[in-house]
Amino acid sequence: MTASDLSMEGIYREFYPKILRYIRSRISRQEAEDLCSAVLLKIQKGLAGFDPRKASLSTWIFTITRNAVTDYFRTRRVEEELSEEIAAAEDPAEGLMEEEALEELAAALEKLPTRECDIIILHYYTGISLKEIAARMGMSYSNLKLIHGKALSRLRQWLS
Amino acid sequence: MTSWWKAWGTGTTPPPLNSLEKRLAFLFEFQRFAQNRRLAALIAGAEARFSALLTDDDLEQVSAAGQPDERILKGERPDDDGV
Repeated sequence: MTASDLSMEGIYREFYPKILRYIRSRISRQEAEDLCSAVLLKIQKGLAGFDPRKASLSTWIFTITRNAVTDYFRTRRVEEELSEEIAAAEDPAEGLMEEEALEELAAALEKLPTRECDIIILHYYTGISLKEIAARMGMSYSNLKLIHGKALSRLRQWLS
Repeated sequence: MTSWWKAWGTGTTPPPLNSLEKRLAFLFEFQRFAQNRRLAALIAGAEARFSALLTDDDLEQVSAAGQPDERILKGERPDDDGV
């Protein structure tokens, strides 16, 4: 979808499933639909101010959605690790994020040895601690940290 | 299109590891929204392999239970007594 054919109908068709899926991955099913509606309202209100030179539509909508989830936890004063994770994932270059970045990451992960790839995914996506991964994989924590460090070094090289 | 990594703003210098970790955390968060198919396949594979691993607790339980049923090892149902 390009900036020229922005319409709420088009946005709803393309992004509603993505927004709902993301919110459902974070909060309970019942409240997810209410929050999803609130996100769509925010998108509608902000659409006139959307600047495609600063971010892709997908990134812009994702940012609104993620912020809504973060606010959800903040307003309920839920001290959950989850909300901290979301906040910790903020970064200064997020406006430049494109879906192509995920392709680049996937390509880099595919080049990693399976075990290194698994460690990266389990830790940064699934949110499992390195200690738990080590225990489950039957290796020492120090050894796993070495492998984790090696994987990060490779990714750093390939993605730079 | 400019690579997101080049767009990091550090010019030719790759970001330090802690920045890399932050970036990974963000990207994987974005993945929950964008559902890149290639990445989703990698995630599914990693989670399936992890789930298939037995924990130490699981192994202790197996050990405490003694020898597994011979019929299970042969691929037979334990309640199958040839009736």
